[in-house]
Amino acid sequence: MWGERAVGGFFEDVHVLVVVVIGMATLLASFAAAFVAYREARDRDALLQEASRVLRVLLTDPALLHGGEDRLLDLTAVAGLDEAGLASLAGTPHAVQLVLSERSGTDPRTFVVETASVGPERAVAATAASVWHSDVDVRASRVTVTLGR
Amino acid sequence: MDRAGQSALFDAFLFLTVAIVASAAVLSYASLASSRSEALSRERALEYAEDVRVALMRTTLGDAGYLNRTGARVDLGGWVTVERFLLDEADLRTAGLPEANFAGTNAAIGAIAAGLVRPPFSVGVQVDFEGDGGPADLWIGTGAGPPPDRYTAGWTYETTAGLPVTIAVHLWTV
Repeated sequence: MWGERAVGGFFEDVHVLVVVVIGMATLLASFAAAFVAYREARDRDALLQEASRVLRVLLTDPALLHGGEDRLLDLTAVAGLDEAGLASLAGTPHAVQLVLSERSGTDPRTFVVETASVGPERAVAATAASVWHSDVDVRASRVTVTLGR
Repeated sequence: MDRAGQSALFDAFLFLTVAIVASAAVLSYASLASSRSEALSRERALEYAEDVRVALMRTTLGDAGYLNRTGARVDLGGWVTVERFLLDEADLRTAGLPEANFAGTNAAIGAIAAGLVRPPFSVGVQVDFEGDGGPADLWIGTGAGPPPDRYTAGWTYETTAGLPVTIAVHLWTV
């Protein structure tokens, strides 16, 4: 209320205004933080899902398997896999890096193939599989797929 | 400032309180996205345990063997898979051969398993002999057994004597 019969002047209202502005700012900042966190989590989750999908594709594609058995990779097929082959199998617009690291057997080998350099924003999916060298030499291996953009 | 002015200030503080509570609620809701990711992580960990189990069971052992009752080494050759060896061990142990006679190859299996899993997981292999009066279960891994909070993948087989044997791979994080 203003004028002669005012219960408070402008400066008395400033206290109230400051408290209200702080409240509004807090509310807006929390909305903004929540939105950013949600969007980042969604993007990260989507990339991770895609990395998992590519990993499953590589472990079940007949072109890489020995005898059609899931997760049993054929040595010859893995050794012959190049950038174009990996890109074709993966079927994703993102850069893909495949690392296959044998963890048993004599002279364990590591295979690395990538379609392009993976960027700073990346997602990694890894699991265990087997590499068939021969019927008497099947090796446990770590398989890691990194997707980047 | 008279009573009406104080009332306005009180209203403003009430609004501030409501705004802070609403902000906390919004931020808590946003953190639910992380919780959902955790749930997915558990699903992936179980899938990973199954992959580790299958890969480990298929793996051939370079120098598998055990000691018979006389203490002589029985060489099984290089083609024996982890799965075949553990099932043979189950057969022989239910027949009375002690665990110590298989220690060398069990240690080799433990080393392969430990090298196979990626950080931050630890791994252990448990074999349950379910025959009457059979020896204690076999545990290959760190500690005396798997911790309560773990991810397990298992498979049940039958020995040549017709007894059920379960081989389980446990993963856990430390």
